[in-house]
Amino acid sequence: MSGFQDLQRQLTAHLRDPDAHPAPEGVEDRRIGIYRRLVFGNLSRLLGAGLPLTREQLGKSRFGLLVRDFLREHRAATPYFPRLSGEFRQWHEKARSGRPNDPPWLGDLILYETEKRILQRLPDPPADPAIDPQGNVVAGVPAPSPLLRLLTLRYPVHKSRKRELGNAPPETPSFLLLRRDRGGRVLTQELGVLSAGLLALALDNTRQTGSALLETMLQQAPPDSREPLLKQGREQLQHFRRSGVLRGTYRDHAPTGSINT
Amino acid sequence: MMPVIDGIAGAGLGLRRPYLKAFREEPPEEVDFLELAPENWIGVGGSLGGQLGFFTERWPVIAHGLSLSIGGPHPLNESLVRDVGEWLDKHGVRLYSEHLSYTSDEGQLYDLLPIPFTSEAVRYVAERIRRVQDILERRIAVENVSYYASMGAEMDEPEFLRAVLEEADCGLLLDVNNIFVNSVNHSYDPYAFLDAIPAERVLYLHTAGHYDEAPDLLIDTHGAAVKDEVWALLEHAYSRLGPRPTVLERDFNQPPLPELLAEVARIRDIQQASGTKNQKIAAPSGGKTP
Repeated sequence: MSGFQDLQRQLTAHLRDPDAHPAPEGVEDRRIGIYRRLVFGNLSRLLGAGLPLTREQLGKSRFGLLVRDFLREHRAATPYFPRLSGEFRQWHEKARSGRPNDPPWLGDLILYETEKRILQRLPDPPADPAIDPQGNVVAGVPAPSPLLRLLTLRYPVHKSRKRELGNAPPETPSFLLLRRDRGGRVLTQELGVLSAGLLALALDNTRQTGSALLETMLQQAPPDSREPLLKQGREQLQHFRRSGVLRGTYRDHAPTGSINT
Repeated sequence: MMPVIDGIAGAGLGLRRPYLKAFREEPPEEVDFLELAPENWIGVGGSLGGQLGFFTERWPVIAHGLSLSIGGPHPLNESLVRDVGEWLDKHGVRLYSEHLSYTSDEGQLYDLLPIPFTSEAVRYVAERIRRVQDILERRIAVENVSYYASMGAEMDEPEFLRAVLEEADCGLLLDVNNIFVNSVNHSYDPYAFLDAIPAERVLYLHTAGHYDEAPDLLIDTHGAAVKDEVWALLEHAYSRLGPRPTVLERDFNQPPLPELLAEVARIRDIQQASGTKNQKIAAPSGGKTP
């Protein structure tokens, strides 16, 4: 390695982890200290802007410790600032098991915030000729909008402004639908177990009709509740269609003939 | 007459998020052109990305990069360069500038770190700048940065700067605030520095505010109004270079827009006063015209 690059690497090693790596020799510590402050301050601001709830819930100093760990342990690849919080989440997911002192709800909160932000900034999807916007989502194969996320959260972090999260999760998880509307706003909606299950199946599916998905989902349902649940499920699919969660049906897989529902 | 460089002339502003709304509500006349960081916009859609066209259609734009790490020890991020190139073409942006610094080792640190002033570094950095210019098929500008620590220097800053510009055959984005900050931090005469700059390579200028950490230590925060000493230096720069396009940068403690616009108007006033005094100063030779 070249001499000047040795110096550059010594400097970054020091800035990432000042306790473990000495600064390049012969430079006044007051001056290196400016870089220590700038690098940490800038990274804290970038991550704080992408994860405002996380910063608020953790508090400034705890959030700062997390930023320090990220700076020391991770080598950030993205040159694009809006994508940094997503990279932070990937790091945190991997590092999590080694971080017993993080609050148990932290992973859920980071997931919720980063997915919201990603949705906000996703490029608008072009009209897809393979999708029939007028298609029947019960009789045909339902096509979900790409501008949504379905999250299963153990902790209700989307309500974290209103309540303390505590250490023990509630008995039931929260199923959250994040969806970008036509005006570009990201809406958060809590789904019931039936709607969430149905949407999860639809997101994984490009072959089965809406009606077949419902049948699959309700196989285990007690016989006397099956019919009402099927009816509820069909209504839910139509509701998803109206609100834009489903943007139509896949043309290629549309079964022949039409079924009225 | 104001020199026009890559379609850019007069006084510009580095556009930041807090000002988007005010710009859209009442497009300010004081601003002749805008400077944007492509790393804040590439791949961004939705309501934020959708606003970009409003700006690129109304003002000429310069792209001012932040993450290229042109002096970094890791291989050049050519996929970033290609993304930037596509973005420039898509939005009709001709001029792209970056910092003569490094921002990464094996990963990004997202801050401008100093390149040691050595002849080996000159060759290395110039080669990378040439590669970027080849990919983008245009001449780019590199900016003299503020630096707080000098490591392993074999030459002084003007010598390093001149050598890189010559060997890379690229333009210079001359930041007068950085000259002032460095002149205090490294005890040199900012006017002598300015006079040592190869005038023909200066494509445009930056000015900004800084923070006085100590009498012998200034920090280039972009968080305050431009200081009187820096205005004076800018005036001197125009007397030597002619009133070349100049951008006001403000990243922190952002005041209401009218306060910034007053500073932009002041840039234009100084340019106009200088322009009448220096009718005969030639503009630098233009780059590739589309």
